[in-house]
Amino acid sequence: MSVTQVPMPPTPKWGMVIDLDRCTGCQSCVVACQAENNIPINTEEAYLQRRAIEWIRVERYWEGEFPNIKARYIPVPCMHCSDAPCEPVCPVFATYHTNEGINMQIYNRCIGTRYCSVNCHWHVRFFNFWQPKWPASLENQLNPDVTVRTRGVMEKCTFCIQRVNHAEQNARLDNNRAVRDGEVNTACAQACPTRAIVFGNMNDPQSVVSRAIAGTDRGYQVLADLGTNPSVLYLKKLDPDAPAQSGA
Amino acid sequence: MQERHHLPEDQIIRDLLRPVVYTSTMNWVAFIVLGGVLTAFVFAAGWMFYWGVGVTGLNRPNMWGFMIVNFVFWIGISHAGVMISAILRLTQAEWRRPVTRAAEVMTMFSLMTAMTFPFMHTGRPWRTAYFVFPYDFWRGIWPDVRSALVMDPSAVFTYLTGTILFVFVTMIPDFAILRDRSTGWRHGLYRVLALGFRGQERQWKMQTISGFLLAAIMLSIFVSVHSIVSWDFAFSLDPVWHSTVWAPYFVIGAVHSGVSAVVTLMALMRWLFKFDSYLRPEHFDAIGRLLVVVGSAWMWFFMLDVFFDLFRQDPVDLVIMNTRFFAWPYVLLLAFIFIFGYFIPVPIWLFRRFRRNIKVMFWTSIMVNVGMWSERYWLVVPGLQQKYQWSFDWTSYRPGPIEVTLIIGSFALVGTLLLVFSKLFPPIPVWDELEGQRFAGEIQVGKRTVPAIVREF
Amino acid sequence: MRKGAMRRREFIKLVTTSTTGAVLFTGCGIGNGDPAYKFKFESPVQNPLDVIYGRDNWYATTCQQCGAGCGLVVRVFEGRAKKVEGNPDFPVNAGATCARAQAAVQDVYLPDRVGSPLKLSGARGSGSYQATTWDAAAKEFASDLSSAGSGGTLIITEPPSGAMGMVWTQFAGKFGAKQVAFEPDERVVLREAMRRVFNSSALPAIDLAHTNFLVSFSADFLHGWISPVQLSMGFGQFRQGRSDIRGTYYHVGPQLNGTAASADRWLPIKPGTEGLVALAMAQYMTAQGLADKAKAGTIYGGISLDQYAPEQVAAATGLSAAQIQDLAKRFANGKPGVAIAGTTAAAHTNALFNLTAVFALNLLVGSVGVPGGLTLNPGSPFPSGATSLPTATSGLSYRDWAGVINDMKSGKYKLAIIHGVNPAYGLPASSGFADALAKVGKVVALSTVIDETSQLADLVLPVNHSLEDWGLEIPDPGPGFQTVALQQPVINTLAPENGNPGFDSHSAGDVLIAAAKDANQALPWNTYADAVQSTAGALQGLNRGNITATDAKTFMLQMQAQGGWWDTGNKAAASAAGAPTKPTPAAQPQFTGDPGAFPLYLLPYPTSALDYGDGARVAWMQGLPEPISTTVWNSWVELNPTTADHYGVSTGDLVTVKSANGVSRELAVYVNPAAAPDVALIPLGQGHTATPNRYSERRGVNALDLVDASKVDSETGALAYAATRVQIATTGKKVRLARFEGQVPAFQVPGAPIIEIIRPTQKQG
Ligand SMILES: Nc1nc2c(c(=O)[nH]1)N[C@H]1C(S)=C(S)[C@@H](COP(=O)(O)OP(=O)(O)OC[C@H]3O[C@@H](n4cnc5c(=O)[nH]c(N)nc54)[C@H](O)[C@@H]3O)O[C@H]1N2
Ligand SMILES: Nc1nc2c(c(=O)[nH]1)N[C@H]1C(S)=C(S)[C@@H](COP(=O)(O)OP(=O)(O)OC[C@H]3O[C@@H](n4cnc5c(=O)[nH]c(N)nc54)[C@H](O)[C@@H]3O)O[C@H]1N2
Ligand code: SF4
Ligand code: SF4
Ligand code: SF4
Ligand code: SF4
Ligand code: SF4
Repeated sequence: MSVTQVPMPPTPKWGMVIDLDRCTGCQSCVVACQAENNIPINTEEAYLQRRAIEWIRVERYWEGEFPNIKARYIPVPCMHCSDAPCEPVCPVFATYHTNEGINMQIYNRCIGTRYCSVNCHWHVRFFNFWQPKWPASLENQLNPDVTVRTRGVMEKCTFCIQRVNHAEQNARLDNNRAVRDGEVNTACAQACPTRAIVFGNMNDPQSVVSRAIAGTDRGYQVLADLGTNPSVLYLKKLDPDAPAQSGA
Repeated sequence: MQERHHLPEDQIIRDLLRPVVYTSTMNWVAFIVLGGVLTAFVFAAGWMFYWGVGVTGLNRPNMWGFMIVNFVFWIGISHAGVMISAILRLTQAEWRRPVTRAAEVMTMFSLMTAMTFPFMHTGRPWRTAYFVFPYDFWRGIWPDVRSALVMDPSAVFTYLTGTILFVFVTMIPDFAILRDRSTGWRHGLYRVLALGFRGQERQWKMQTISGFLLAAIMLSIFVSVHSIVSWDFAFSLDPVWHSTVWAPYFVIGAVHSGVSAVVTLMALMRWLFKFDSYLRPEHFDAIGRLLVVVGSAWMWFFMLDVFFDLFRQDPVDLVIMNTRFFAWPYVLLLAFIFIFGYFIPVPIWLFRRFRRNIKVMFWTSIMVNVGMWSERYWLVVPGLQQKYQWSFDWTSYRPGPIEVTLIIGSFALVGTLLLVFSKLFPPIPVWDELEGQRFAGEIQVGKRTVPAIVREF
Repeated sequence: MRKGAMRRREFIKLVTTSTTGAVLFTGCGIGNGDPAYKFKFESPVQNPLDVIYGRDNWYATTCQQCGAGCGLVVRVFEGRAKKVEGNPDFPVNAGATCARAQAAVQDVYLPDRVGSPLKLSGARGSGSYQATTWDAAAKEFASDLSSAGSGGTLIITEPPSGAMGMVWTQFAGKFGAKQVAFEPDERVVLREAMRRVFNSSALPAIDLAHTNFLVSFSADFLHGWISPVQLSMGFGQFRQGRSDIRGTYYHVGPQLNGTAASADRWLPIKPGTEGLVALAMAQYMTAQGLADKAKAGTIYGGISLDQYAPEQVAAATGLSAAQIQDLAKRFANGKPGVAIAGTTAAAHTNALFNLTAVFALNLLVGSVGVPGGLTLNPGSPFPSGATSLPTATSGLSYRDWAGVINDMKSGKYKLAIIHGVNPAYGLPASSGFADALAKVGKVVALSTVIDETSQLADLVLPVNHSLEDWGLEIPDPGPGFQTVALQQPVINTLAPENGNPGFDSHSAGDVLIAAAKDANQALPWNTYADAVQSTAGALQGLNRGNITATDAKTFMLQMQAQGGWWDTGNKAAASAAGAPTKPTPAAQPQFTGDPGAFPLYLLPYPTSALDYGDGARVAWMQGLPEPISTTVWNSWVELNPTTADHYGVSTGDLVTVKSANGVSRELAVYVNPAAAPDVALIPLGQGHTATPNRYSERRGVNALDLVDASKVDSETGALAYAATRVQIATTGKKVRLARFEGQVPAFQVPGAPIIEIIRPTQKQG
């Protein structure tokens, strides 16, 4: 048997751009992620205990005072930090970086120290304090491509790794080509009705996500000064009432 | 200066072995009470393992709480052992003799207790056992040595191993004494433990040398252990936690709480075992003087840590500092830290009269540890609840009943282990006392009174 | 040993050296000397080539979670619906969905979904049922139909539309039944406003992608109003779809709702004064020459605008004259500017006036039928005739319901058939609907769940969920051109199997067709699928649109694959919008309750997740934070911080809200910094009592209970659910109010904002 060396396609770097000027806080992304990723049902108790799990969550911040008050929304998934502080603190490599820029979580390796969550400053790591449960009929909805987590493990946004892997596998089978822009999309970006979220390969200058950030001066990273270089980039919210040189 | 008490050797042996052979009523009461608390502890742990960490008060972002605080506390207590035994042995402080065993054994048991907490805190400790020890060699996946959570157990286990060795070596002559005076299963046990120690010169020499060597090695571990424990926090990017000063600060705090715990233990032993002629006021006096220095050094580091945050004026730190200083319950804990941890005990210890009063020493030492437990909570918990500018996520943490039970239980666990130990082995080193007596012996050489024995070490 | 295979000893050696090396090197930071080099860990667990994915199917269908009719594709795996996505081809939503559509997969597998036909086994309303077979149930239903006689049957459904509406209309005709429709009153007013202002029964599309200035009067158009996905898609474009212009959006309303949060400016007004502000804008625009005075005369015929100068109405609206003038200037200059009104604007005694006054502004500035303006939707592409699809029909107003309820009480009806609506919950209790229903000889409910209405039935027939059924809809509002949405079953109803309960349900259409046949009044179709397919087939004859197939079968297949039929070229004539047919007189809102005794306006509002209560049965919707208060799983009352201080309450304190109609309810307070000081906001949609419904029963209160049901819109008779005043009394009790926000009101930390904000450099719309 002879083996032919097939050239590998260039490695992608997955990234996301979230335009805060488009986002309306509708939380379609939140439910889409829950449906795609078998996220445990957030019961009233989960909220009362402040342990609700939303891999992407929409936070609402106030500014000002009635009647000159504004409510602002920001959707927050995992930032997939290029130098992720959650990774080196995990004693068992249950969270690690893929060479495609995704901060991964291996559920069955996690021993539940919660150190990664303590050292994630975007608060996007969620611990299964209880055993997640679904009524029998709702189990029919669970996505067979995503592991159902058990109690005692950490979970978080994976950039819908199952979708990425699937697209990459298809591309590999198709003459080992690179994944084309638009062939893979995350559940949150897919659902977003204002198209505030864009996902794709940051290494490809022609991808929608690269162009979304290249063509603007509004880009920023949340908590950029921590130096973790998040792969989730935000586009600043615009407001005609903003002070002349605010933001920055 | 050490006052000299001359007691006949057989009386020393009889007195010091009494707890091993005789169980007083108080002893039984202690067993029953501790056993009761321990049952609650086991139940609480079982409950948590069955249902999950959900039974605690932990939440997002407060992922670490009572159990981690308690871990730090007991690691701190463990620092008394080396401080008393190793340092005082190396510096040949005579007053150490009756105190060493209790300090070392407490080190051993508090380390064991401390280690159970991070494991329990994961909620499924068996997974740690499964994934960390027979690790995934097949796929070449190793623990990540960059994680403080790998360094930390390594350091603590090294310390525990060293301590056990150290305790063992210092106990060999006592095992021999016990072996020679016991029958039945006890004889068998002591015979094995005594390793054929017959009091030959070579054996004494080896025992002394290994004791000194271990003491010297332990000294470096001693500094590293609590430094590394502090890195569990200081390695992170969390505001107020990621502070370089935490390593020495934690070490000195550990000594403060550990040595105070030894005072508590000495007073208890004095009452429980009637060791009045061995644990004498001058011992409390000496430890009290040590504590004045240690306590003040600790207070200095405490202030430094606060000043560093105030000096930097980083808004994310200041938010937490504000909570620590002005918000309930941290303001109460702060009062405990200052009043109990320092401003009541240390001024009292300045007076020789009080240092020699066992009751005063007992209660002040208890106070220090109330203050020091509060300090650990004050340092650890607020660091998570207002992390960075996510005011949308800011949430406080309140421990659940299970956690409180586990914490109370940890005290019972250490207490029970100490009590069981005292039923098997003498809590004051018999040979050390005898050696002290011999060293104290004096002879007349011409006009001078000189020690009867010349030391080699 | 095979050549090249590794010996065990070599293997062990390799493993030991490489792993020791890895640990040492990384531990000591030796690495390759490059500080940027990090110990990157590639997990062999990824095993990419080993993963075998199961085979999934994606089926296009139509969303029925609300009335907007978006196109979906549903991922189906081994017969289970797994995930809903927007149908990228479908013109209404172009691939996106709202949160409620995402939850459709949870709705279809509701644990308390009715599993088999149920026959009442206790007193009416007791909720005790016995399972029965479909054969027995169908026989009973058919004989009830026969014995009810002409005029003895009452049918209550959603406003009949699409294929299901068609079947119902035919069915009602066969049996001489009275057919009435239920929908939230707000939508009844909106339809009437469309008829009066635009002479159109369909809702208009809004070309937001090209709009420069948008003003919404209370309409929650991004989070639930009429077609939130379509409007959100447009809104994204409105903001950032053009390189040169960023659309400007002002929100005028008594509440900073989730939609208003996205506004550039929110102008808080007194409840119910939306119409006044619109008239003041019109007055100012005409006075300033920004709009044509003569045109205004026709449009607002009968209303003398001079009485509504900004200075004159400012006090009543709670705004300053300058604010209204500024708004009017921006609206007139921001061509094209669009004004819309809805949600709570339509819940007052002057509801129709509010809506007509606002929508007429579009006519005034010429924003109808132009790019960036309101686009009227064309009529149905289906040939009219016996089997034409009903479209854009309206429900009964609350006042009209009173008539129906009287008839029910009088014993006129021997049989009531209820399908897909829940009037026992959605009509205020004081309407007497439940008592009236008890006077009807027999009640048959076609439902997927036991709700407050089906709980009153004698016979519950479990019907298929929309993901399991056929359908044909004309989305309303459409995208501006003729569009038909095809709904097809993407899964079969789960049969009961080993331990999994399953649901023994039938298609509602099939149930009707079979019942009509059994009662010897056969409908023209054999099955509901037939009805849908034969009706859809009529589109082929038009020879236009997105599907080009020439044979009927391929046409249907392509339509199923694409999710519908549409003809981008077929738009409504721009001239269709003439002058308003019947001007609506100006009116101030009336409120029940003396302002002294009842100092706060009660403002109940539909939430994005629960809407008027439909979403409450789904766990994901209950657990979805309300966009402003972030509260979940409950009801609460929102008070302004100063108001809360006045009563000495804070978030989580239990208060008694006593309304001027004498009803009081205990609710937890949420201190909302954006609530107006004289308003008490209470979300609608909770307070369900029907059981079993594990996610909705006994949660919170139904805010409609507090509403004085005698207050209706003077024109349409729609319930004015925001026309009641309330007082607050403290109880001294405190509860834990589940919400997503942390323990402090989340204000941005000064100097270190999470959300960075800058001034736009683009031209402002
Ligand atoms: N539909 C369908 N059903 C089948 C079959 C079929 O072909 N199709 N085949 C039948 C046959 S022959 C068999 S053997 C069974 C197999 O049935 P299962 O044993 O259920 O097989 P898998 O789905 O391959 O694997 C189970 C889970 O293990 C996870 N997993 C992978 N690696 C690891 C690991 O290292 N540790 C842990 N803890 N989990 C891991 C996978 O992600 C997956 O979720 O199915 C039977 N049933
Ligand atoms: N990548 C990957 N590979 C796997 C697995 C995996 O999870 N991932 N799973 C592994 C496991 S657990 C299993 S059991 C194997 C299964 O691997 P296979 O045994 O290859 O499984 P099948 O493809 O199910 O069946 C083989 C053939 O038998 C035929 N067949 C059916 N009935 C009969 C009969 O009565 N007589 C005869 N002569 N032929 C019949 C079928 O048509 C089919 O062509 O796959 C293994 N391979
Ligand atoms: S956002 Fe948090 S979880 Fe995600 S990569 Fe960064 S540190 Fe890790
Ligand atoms: S919780 Fe799990 S993933 Fe996080 S650090 Fe601990 S073991 Fe690693
Ligand atoms: S990328 Fe995927 S996993 Fe991450 S938030 Fe979005 S939907 Fe969830
Ligand atoms: S779906 Fe889009 S618009 Fe809605 S909250 Fe998420 S990011 Fe914002
Ligand atoms: S707006 Fe209505 S029809 Fe469209 S996706 Fe949402 S629920 Fe479905």
